Amino acid sequence: MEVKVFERVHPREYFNLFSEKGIRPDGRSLTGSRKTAVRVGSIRTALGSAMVKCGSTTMLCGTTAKVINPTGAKVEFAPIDVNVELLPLCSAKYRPGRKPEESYHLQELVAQHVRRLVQPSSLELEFEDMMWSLSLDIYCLEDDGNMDDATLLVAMAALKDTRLPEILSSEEGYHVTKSRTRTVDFRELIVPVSFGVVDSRVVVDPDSSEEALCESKVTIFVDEKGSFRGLSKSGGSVTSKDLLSTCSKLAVQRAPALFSQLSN
Amino acid sequence: MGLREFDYGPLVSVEGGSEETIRERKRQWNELRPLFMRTRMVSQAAGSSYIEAENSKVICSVSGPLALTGGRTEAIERAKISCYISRTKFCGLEDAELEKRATTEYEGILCRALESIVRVEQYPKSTIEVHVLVIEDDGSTLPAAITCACLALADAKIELRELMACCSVAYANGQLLLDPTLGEAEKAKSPRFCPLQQARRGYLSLRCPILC
Repeated sequence: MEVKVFERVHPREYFNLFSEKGIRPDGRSLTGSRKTAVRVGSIRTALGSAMVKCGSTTMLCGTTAKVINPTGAKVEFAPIDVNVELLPLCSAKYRPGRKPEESYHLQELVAQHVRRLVQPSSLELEFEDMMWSLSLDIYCLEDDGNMDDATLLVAMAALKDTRLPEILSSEEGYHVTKSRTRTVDFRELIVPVSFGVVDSRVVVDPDSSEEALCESKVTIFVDEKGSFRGLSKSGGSVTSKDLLSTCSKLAVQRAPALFSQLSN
Repeated sequence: MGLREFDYGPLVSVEGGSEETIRERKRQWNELRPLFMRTRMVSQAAGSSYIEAENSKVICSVSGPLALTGGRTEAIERAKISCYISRTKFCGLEDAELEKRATTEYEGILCRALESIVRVEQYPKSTIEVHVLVIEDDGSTLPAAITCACLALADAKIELRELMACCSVAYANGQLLLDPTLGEAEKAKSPRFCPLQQARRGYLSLRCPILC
């Protein structure tokens, strides 16, 4: 039987032929990640922009901002709205019409993450009751697996690249300066590292064909000092503590490469 | 930045108002902007392409031919071409209403243009989907989308009669301007032309006026 036909008809057996020997169909080891690149500032019509390519998975993010009157008590988390669009452009999985469920999952994931990481004080204005509210618009240009990591990285990179104008007060009201120098400050940076579990073997940075075979997905969050900061595993098969600690160790190894990409 | 300033909401206004002098056009009236075109941008799609003309960026991906679903009875002997144009929220166009109206019209223009070059009779009972995303808009994005779609169809190995390229022209201050930017097109008070030209056979369609 031809190789391509075998891959289509028996994807799990095809993958196992490789993983038994400790490698994957695209040539990586089980713990190897795809080349990840972060580029910022390519879109001049956005206040900040970034593009992340993780292998073939490509995410694009642009930020816009509005001045708002926050109601109520002191703002605990930074006011950032997130919109993730998974258009049919990026994969045959998504059809035109209703927004796919994955986009809501990614929106929530990014919103929870960045609202805690960004310092709300960096968005506050010296005029009473006014504050910057940011909007992140994330578009997937290609979905080849592991969108969680790519989406979180692109959101953080775009926020780091965002430059806001200053606001001046005069008798006509408030107006903004043409030059934009104000940055968005982070409390700290935390990166995600995602894993797939296929037949009880952990694979780092699964691509779309591997994601389809995963029985569960685990994401570990690591900070710049290399400490474990969080874990996310929703559903899937039962995993042992050993497997989760293996994931932690691998995540701590992978994190420095992601931080160096973010800081460039 | 062209005419359109960033919009920071109703509480603040932009310093000095929103009028901005258009930068002097650095190229000749009949010169195109520097172009970058590439196919195979999206490896998951059947075919894809990307066009960048200085600050206008358009990406297109094609899926198909796919099987037609539903009990459709019309046009079974020919493929149905469906076009979807989306814009990013930060592409540079602010007026949401204008965007919505223009997008539906543009999708129709794109469909009709592609129907004349795709050999639709070779793909009975199927549909070809063309998805365009305008990443950044600095004028002439409809012509870029049409050229991009044609490249993506070729990349998807869909049979075409020939290749098609498209360009727009604005008429401002008694002067024709080829491939106008957003600022130049805004300034053009007279009707704008958008000729579509096939590789060898001549003009495919001309539209005047058009919102480009």
